[in-house]
Amino acid sequence: MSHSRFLLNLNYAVAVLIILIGLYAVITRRSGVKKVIGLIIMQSGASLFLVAMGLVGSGATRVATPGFRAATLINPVPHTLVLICMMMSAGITALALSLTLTIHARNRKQPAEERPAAVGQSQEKAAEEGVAES
Amino acid sequence: MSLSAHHPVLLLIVPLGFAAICPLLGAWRRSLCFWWALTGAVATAFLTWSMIGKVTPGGPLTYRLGDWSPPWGLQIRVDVPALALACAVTGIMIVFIVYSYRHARESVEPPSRLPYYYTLLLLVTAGMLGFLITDDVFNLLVLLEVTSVAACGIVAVTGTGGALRSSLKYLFVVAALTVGLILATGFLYSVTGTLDMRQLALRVEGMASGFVPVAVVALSLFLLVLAVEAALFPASWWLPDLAVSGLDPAGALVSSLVVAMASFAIFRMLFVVYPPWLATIGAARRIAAASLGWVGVLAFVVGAVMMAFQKDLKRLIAYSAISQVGLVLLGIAASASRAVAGGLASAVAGACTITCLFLGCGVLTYGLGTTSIKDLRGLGRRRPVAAAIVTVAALSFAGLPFTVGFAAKRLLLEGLFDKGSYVPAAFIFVGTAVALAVFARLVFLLFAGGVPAQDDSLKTAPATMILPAAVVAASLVALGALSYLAIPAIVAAVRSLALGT
Amino acid sequence: MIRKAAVIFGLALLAGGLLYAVAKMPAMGDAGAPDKTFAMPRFIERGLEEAGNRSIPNDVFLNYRAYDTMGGVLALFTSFCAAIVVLDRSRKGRSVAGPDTSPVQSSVMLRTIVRLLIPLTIMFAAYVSLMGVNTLGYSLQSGVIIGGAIVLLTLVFSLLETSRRMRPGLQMAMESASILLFIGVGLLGVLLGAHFLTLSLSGLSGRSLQIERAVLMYGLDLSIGLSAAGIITSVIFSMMREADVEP
Repeated sequence: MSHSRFLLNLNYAVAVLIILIGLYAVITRRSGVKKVIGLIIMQSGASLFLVAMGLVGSGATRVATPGFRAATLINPVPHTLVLICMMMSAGITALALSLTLTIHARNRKQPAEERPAAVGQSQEKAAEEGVAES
Repeated sequence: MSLSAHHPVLLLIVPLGFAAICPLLGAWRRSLCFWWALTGAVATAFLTWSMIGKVTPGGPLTYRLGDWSPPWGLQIRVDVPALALACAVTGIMIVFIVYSYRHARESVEPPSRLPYYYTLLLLVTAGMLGFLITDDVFNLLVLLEVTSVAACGIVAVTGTGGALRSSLKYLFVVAALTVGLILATGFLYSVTGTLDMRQLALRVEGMASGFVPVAVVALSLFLLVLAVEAALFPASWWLPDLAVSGLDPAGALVSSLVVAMASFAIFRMLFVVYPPWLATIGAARRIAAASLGWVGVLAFVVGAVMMAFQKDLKRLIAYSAISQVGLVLLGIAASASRAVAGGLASAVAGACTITCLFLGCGVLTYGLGTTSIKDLRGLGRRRPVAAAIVTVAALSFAGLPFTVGFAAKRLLLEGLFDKGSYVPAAFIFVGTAVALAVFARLVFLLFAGGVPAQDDSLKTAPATMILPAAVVAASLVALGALSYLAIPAIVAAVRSLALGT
Repeated sequence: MIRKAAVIFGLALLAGGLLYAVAKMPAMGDAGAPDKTFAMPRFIERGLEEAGNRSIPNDVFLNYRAYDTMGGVLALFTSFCAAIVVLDRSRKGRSVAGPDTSPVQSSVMLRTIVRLLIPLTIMFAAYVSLMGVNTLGYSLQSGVIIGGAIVLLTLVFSLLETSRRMRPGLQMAMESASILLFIGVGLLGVLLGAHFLTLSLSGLSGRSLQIERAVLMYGLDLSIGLSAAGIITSVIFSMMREADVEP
C-alpha cells in the first residue's frame, strides 16, 4: 500500500531530494557564492514541496470565475506559504550575498599569507592554499 | 472596543512601528536614533510588563487577527510562559540600548551604520515578541527567521573580519534550518489541514493511523532543527565565534536570548502541538523527549567542562551559555511539570545571567584591548564595581542562593526528584560543581592575583556602560526574591498545558 | 574525504526518514486528503464573498492570513537593514560614490535595447501588480521585476547614472513606507472597532464594501512590492559601490 502511494507522491520525493542536494552544497562547498546557490536550491525545493501539496485532481484554476465548480479548485493555503517563503528567501539571499561580497573584498585587500580562512574552512588549509597560490 | 483589548497585538506592532521610523530619523539627525530606540524599548517594556496582572495560568489572552478564527485565520495567545520570557526580553533590550550608547559609538565604523543598528535592535525585539505570542506554526518559523536575521545583522555591525565571517556562518545555518522547519510544517499540514498549534494537537489526536508516521517524522524534524538553532551541544559549533566577535550586547543577544527562543519553540512543540496527553503518538513523543533530555544533560556537563579550558573570557561565557542551553532543554524535556517550569525559569534566568556576564566582561575589560583571562590578573582591585558585577553573575550562573539562577535550578531539581529522575539530577550537580570551580578560579584571579602593572592611562568605563550592567546584576538578586511569586503561576500554566485543560 | 563521506552518510539517513514520511503522506491530488477537507472548503466556497477577491490565494494571503504576510514583510525589512549594515561604507560628505563606467562592456546596441525595454518591463510589473486586485497577481513579483530592471540599468549603464534617477535615500524611504503602510492598513481595523488587520469594515455593504476591501488588500500587497523592490535596488547599489573600492 505504501509502495503505491510513494509513486503517487513522487513530486514530494523529488522536492525532498532537491532540498537535500541543496543542503549538500551548503555544507560541502567552500566558496560563499556556491553556498548561497545551495541555499537557493533548498528554498526552491521547499517551495516545490509546498505547492505540490496544494494539488487537487488535475489542478483547475484558482480563480472563482462565474460558474466554477468548487470541488475542482486547488488548495490556496500552500500558495500563501510559498509566497511568504519567497519573501524570506529573497531577504536571506540578499544578506548572504552582501556578507560574502564584503568578506571577499576585505580579503582581496590583504596579502595572501594573512588571509583568514574561508567560511567553513580550517585555518591550516587556508594557509596551505595561500602558499600554494603564491 | 477599547485599546486595551488590542493589547496582545500591540506587543508586536509598537516595536515594529518604532523600527520602521528609526532609519528615517537617522537620515535626518543621527543622534536622535538612540533616544528613539530607547523610547521604543521602554514603551514595549511597559506594554509587556503591564500584562503581568492580566494573564493567569488558566486564562491566557487571545486575539483573533482580522476577525477570523483558526484554522482560517491566525490567532495570537499570550500565556504565562510566553509572558515570562517576553518580560525578560523587553527588560534586557532597554539595558542593551543604554549600554550601546557609548559602546556602539566607539566600536562601530562608519557611524552612518548606527541608525540601522538601533533599528535592528528594535526589530529583534519585535521578532522575539511576535514569536512568543503566536499560536500558528508557520508564523512561528517566520518570526524565528526574522529574529535570527536581525541578530545576524547586529553581530555584523562592527564590520570586523571575524564578525562578518561568523555572522555569515550563522546565516547559512539559520537559512538551512528554516527550510527544514518549512518541510516539517508541510508534512504536518498535509495530514492535518491546519497550522494553528492547538488545533494541530486535536487533529493529531484524531488522525487516521496510516498518517501517524508522518506526524512522528514531522515531530522529529522539528526537534532536530530547533535543537541546532538552540545551540544544543554537539550542534553548537556556530555559537562561540558568533558570540565573541560582535559587540557585548550582540554576544549576550545571540547566546542567551535567541537560543532561548529556539528552546521556547521546543517547549511549544512538546506541550502545545504534541502535548503529553496525546494517545496516538504518545510513545514517539516520550522517546523524542527522553532523547532530547539526555542530550541536554550531556550538553550541560560538556559545556561546563569546556568552560574550564578557555583562555578568553568572552569565549568562556559563550561556553557557559551552551551549558545553560543543556539545562533548559533538560528541563523542558522532562515529564514533571515542575521540571518543565524549571527549564523555562532557567531560560529566563540564563538570559539575565549571560547578559550580565557579557556586559560585566565588557565593563571589566574596557580600554584594555584584550579579553584574555591571564591579562585580567588583579584587575578586580582596580575596577571593583565591574568585578563585583561579574562575580554576582557567576554566582547566579552556578545557582548559589539568593539569585535567580538558584531559584530556577532548585525548581528544576525539585521537578526531577518528583519523578524520580535521580541520574540527570546527579549530572546537574556535577556540571554545577565544574562551573562553580571555573568561576571561582576566575574571581580569585581577579581579586587576589599578582600585583598588576601600574597603568594610569587606563580609562574608567563610562557610566552608561557600568550602570546597565549593575542594574542587571542587581536584578539577578531581585528576581531571585520575586521568583517566588512567579513560579507557582508558571508551574500551574505548564500543568494545564500538560493535562490538556 | 572522510568529511564528505560523513556528510553523505548523514544526508542519506535524513533522506531515508523524509522519504519514508513522503511514502506515508496522503496521495498527491487526493481531494479527500485531511488538508483538503478541513479548512479549505470555506476558503473556496465563501472566499469571494467574505474576502472580496476572485483569486482565492490572494484572499488567503491578504485577508485571512494577512498576519503571516506581515511576518514576511518584516523579514524583508529586517534583511534590508542587516544588508545595509554590512555594506554601508559611506564616507563623510559623499552621498553616492559610484563608478562612472558600467561594469559591462556595453555597445550602442545593448544600451539602446535596454533603454527601450525598461519602460515595457516596468509596465509589465505594474500589470502583474494591478491584476491582483480582482484576479491572480502579486505585488511581490512585480517588486522583484522592478528591482531586476534597476539591476539591468545599473549593469549596462553606470551606477552614477542610475543613481541619478533613483536616489539611495529613496530605497530607505520605500522600505520604511512599506512597513508603515502595512501597519497603517491593519490599524484601520483597530480604529474602527474590529481587530487588527480586519479588512471588511463595518457599516459598508455591497459595492462600497467591495471597493473598500479591494483598496485595503491592494495596500497590503503594495507594501510587499515596495519592500521587495527596495531591498533588491539598495543591495545592488551598495554592492556596486563596494566593488568600486578595489585597487
